[in-house]
Amino acid sequence: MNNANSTSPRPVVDIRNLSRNFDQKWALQDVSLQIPQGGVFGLIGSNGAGKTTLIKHILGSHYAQTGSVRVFGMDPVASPVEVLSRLGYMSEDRDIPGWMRIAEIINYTRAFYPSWDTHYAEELRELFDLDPKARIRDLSRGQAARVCLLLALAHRPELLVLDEPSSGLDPVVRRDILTAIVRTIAEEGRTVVFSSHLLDEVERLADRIAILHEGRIVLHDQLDLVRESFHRVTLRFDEALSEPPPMPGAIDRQGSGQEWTYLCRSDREQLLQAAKRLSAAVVQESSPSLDDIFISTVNRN
Amino acid sequence: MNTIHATLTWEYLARNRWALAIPFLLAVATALLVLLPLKSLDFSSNARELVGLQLVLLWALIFIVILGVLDSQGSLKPLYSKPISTTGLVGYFFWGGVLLVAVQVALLILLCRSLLGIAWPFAGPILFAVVFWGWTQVLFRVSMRTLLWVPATLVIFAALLYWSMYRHGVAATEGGMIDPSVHYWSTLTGLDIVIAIASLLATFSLTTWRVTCDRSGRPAWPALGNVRTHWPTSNKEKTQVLKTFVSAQSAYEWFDFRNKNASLPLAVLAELLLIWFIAFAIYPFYGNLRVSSQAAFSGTLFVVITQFVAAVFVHLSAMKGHSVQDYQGPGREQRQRKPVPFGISQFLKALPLSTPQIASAMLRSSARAAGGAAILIFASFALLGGLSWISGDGVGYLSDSKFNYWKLAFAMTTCSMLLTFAVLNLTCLYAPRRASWEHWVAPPVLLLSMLTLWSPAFPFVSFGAAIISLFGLGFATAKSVKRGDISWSNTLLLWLAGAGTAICLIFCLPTDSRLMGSVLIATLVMLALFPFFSTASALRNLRTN
Amino acid sequence: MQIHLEAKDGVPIYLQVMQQIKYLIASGRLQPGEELPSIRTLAEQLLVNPNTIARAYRELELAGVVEKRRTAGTYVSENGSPLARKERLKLINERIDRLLVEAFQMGFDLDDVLKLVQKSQLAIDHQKQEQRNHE
Repeated sequence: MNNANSTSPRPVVDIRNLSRNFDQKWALQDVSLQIPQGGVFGLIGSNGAGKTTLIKHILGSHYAQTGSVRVFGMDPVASPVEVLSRLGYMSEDRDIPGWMRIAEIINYTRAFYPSWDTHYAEELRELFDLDPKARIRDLSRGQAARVCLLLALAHRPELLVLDEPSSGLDPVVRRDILTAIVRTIAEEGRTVVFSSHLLDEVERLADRIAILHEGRIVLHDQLDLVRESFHRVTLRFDEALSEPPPMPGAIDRQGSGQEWTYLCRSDREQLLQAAKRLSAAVVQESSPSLDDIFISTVNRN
Repeated sequence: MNTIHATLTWEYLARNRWALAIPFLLAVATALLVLLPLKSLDFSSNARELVGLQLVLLWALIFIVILGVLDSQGSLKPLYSKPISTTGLVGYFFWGGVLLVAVQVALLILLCRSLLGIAWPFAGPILFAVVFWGWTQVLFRVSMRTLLWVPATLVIFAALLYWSMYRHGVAATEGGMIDPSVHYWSTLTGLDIVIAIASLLATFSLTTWRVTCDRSGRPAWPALGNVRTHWPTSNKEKTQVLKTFVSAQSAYEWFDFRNKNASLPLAVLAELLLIWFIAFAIYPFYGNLRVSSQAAFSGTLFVVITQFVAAVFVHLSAMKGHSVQDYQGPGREQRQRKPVPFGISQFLKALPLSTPQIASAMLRSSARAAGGAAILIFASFALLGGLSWISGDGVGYLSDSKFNYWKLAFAMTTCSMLLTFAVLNLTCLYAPRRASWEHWVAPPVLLLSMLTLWSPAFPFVSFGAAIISLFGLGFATAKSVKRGDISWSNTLLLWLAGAGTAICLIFCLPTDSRLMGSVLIATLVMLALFPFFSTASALRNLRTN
Repeated sequence: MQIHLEAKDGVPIYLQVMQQIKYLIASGRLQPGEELPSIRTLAEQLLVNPNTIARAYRELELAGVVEKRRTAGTYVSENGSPLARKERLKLINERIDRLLVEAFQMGFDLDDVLKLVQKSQLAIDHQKQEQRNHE
């Protein structure tokens, strides 16, 4: 599951045993993550699970109380300029200064990034239909999100960090954001990290996912492997049962009488053999969606 | 009081206790600052001379109190959806404000009376204060969204101030503010009451009408709307070519100036313009320049003395800075303003700039602000000097004093500038809970110095303040050089510049007060140097926690 | 290229893409030798991770349905690969089933249907002959 082997190139983000508490409450507990270069990493969790806190550690807004955080091999707290200049960030609140105009904030942000591509920024501005003379405090949510996305993309960062990029936005803006993510990873060597509780988007875009629940990582693997290792089977038993018998790797059981549906994390062959041993017929078999996997995993914990 | 009013009251108190209390305390501090030296010099027998000073002080106190109440009330927009009529809503805040202002002004007058032991009246000032409140309400809530509010404010304020001057007998005399016929506003005439009632009713109706329009979404000034779209846009072509920033640091300096510090020189400019406007407005009544120059002089002095109050306001309100964020709620289209200390939002924290560079940018922007304000103030003094040369009189109260006018003007402006710079960069406010001890040196040293400046009764206090600040500065210097926030060469340059400034200032003082003055000037210079060696470490705590 | 993804139903995205491409080839909307959109273009169109599209293309290549030319891109295979043929058979069988059901409903029997098919074929041949005579 954890493939930080020595022959692969250094991960872009390397978090080891990170814990964080705020006023006696643990926001993160012993979190370890390695995000390899050139892929999309989806960070999933309910509100308050610790996603934003984790992302703030990557940005250097929080220092590591225990454990270590390395981005591009460097500590973001100790070397903010080196790390942040190669990183594009879109905050959850899209909190940009209200008194500026769009042209002003683009001009302002440009000064910070040597790799800023003015033509690309202009292209994005026209694509997103942003009026340079508009004041940021007068913008709607969708437009503000587009501005933040522009500012994160225009300097062509090696690492794009998006904190809940689609939350609260209409489908048109969401499309812009997803397109930006797809375009970014299509360019060689760039990495995208995004946190979301909209699992259908994570399913479409992520190569690897991690599920964060109450500050702990409960799942961390390639999305393909995750999808393949979870199965939903409906078994029909010879007689009605009040309590269904256990199945290997069963996380969730639902049903009544003779038919019971299991959500299992195990090898398919194992499941079929177990069903046979219980002399139950496999009535239906399907692949659960990421939504179902998330809900069951989280509920179980 | 029905339940809606009870709810509003509870919410107001719960949310805004400090926003109400702090300006009041600031007003108290200002009153103490100005009056304590007078107390020790025992002017009580010559109360007449104080009336002019009382008037200016009263204006300042009323203004601070009103701003405090206004700030704590805030915008009415969030309450539009509550089940309360517009008249009820406006009425609650309008008349509630009248009560709050009257009570606070009464308390302040009581304080001043007990400090000075002279019979300052309640009636006139309180009446004036509530009328002033009414008009400020109007200006605040009847926002015209164009720059027309500036001349409107100037005209209304000038009219009000002139009215109070008239009632104090100032306008009717030739001697200006220290003429013996100047008196307190002790009695309320029938005309006073009529003016007050009419004014309150008019301002209340205006505010209600405007809020009604706002609440129902109708634009209040359709004609003005055209002005709005045309007036600012005529400058828009210029802003198309935005200046490219030389470096990330200069970009941040621009941001910090526009976000926070620019309001200081703008406020000073507005104050000075108002003062000169009044000075020239009263000229036709007297026919000679002397009265006008006296008014302008005391006004400029007032700006000099209270500039640091303005700086405290700027710094404190920056602490309550905000950025615009997505409203955290389902389905709401709007974005809201949420408080973020110094407006340093998550977006800004992610910009690639090291902490010492940000600190340097912030110091430059506040230097720009304090320096700009100082230039304006000195220009005002210079204008006065020119006026007095034209009229052949001395300026203001110092026409026959032993002070060299220009030396005094320079010294006052520079001292005020240093003080303002120090206040704009009070590092203890950046991350109060995690600031180490040397950041907390500045506020008590400031207060102690102010105290001894005005009350020579305790000279050893000023020596103590100087010693504490020397230790604090030394420690901070060593710490920041060790951390690498500032280079040895820059440290040396700064200390030398500080020493040079101190020496210049000391030579501006008259010889007999040089000893006392040197200690105070040294403390002041050290306070101004302090931010250079402490801002980076304080910012570090703000940016990363 | 018209591909639509179904959100739910649990079928992995790369499989959906593969199935739809196979269908397009089988129904003739994608001709042999025709170029498929680049991985990046298709990923942007469908808003999915390019790796997913890459995987679909890879699996299709393994199955012989498409072929990758070194620098030029991905193309539909020239020779009818067995899988494509299977898709085509499935399609044509569906059409035949429908034809028979309709014919029987209208009162025609199998012999009638066969005779009508032959008649149509003759008419088409005749038309082709005439066209050749004109040229």
